[in-house]
Amino acid sequence: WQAASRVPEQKVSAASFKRLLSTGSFAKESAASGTETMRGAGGFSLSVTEECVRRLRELATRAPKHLPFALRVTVNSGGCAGFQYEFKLEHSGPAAEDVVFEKDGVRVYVDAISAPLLSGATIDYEDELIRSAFKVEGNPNAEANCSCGTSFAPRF
Amino acid sequence: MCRSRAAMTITEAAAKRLRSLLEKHPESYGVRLSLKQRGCNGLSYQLDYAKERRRFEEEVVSADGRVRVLVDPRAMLHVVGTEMDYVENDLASEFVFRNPNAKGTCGCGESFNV
Repeated sequence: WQAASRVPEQKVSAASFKRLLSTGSFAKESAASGTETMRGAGGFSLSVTEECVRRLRELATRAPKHLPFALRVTVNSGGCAGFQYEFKLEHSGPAAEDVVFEKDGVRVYVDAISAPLLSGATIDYEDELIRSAFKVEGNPNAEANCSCGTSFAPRF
Repeated sequence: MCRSRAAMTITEAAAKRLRSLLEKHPESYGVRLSLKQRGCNGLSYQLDYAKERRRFEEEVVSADGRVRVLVDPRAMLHVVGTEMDYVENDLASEFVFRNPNAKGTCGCGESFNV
């Protein structure tokens, strides 16, 4: 499963690399160089951008000190593309069936059902004039995304 | 022309947020609200910093008179009567538009149709 989700990265040929450079999407990729990949149990992986880490640290300082602090990402049914992402802040330890991702004090919980639908994706905190919010980006398990990015159609 | 009512209303929360955003962009005259053909329900709102007021743009001033929202003339027809609000929680903070002209909205609230 881990190997399967990595295949698209290896497929980048010289031609598509040039195309990436010319379309400017390469610049976008390198802008996310602060992205950290976290590995969880069961071979699942999840990345967090620098912005996401910064926001989680900021939220953690406001959270009760004696309790654990984590971001929970869940995949639920709903949204215009069939499945949607949900975010929640947790102030307790992970549940037995949770996959825990951890790096530099940042923790993300994903339940066992959501983990295969999220593995390989990146969690970002987008900061724009109209909206600042957590979002899931570049999910390799998604075939199509809703334009607002909260829902997606999984690849089966 | 006699204009008895503002084209749009800005809530206290939205005005407060706009004020703090504009303080960081002192070169801006205000923000510009326009619409983009995007999203699963046809139209979505777009906000940008505006350096100046363009021709035919409607200027909406907050109740305290300190922030200005410029409405793109092409968006005017669709947003007239809209309330611009700002909602904030730990996971997301965003401007929301309560638009009486919208006949349907997208599940995430980002796009609408008229």
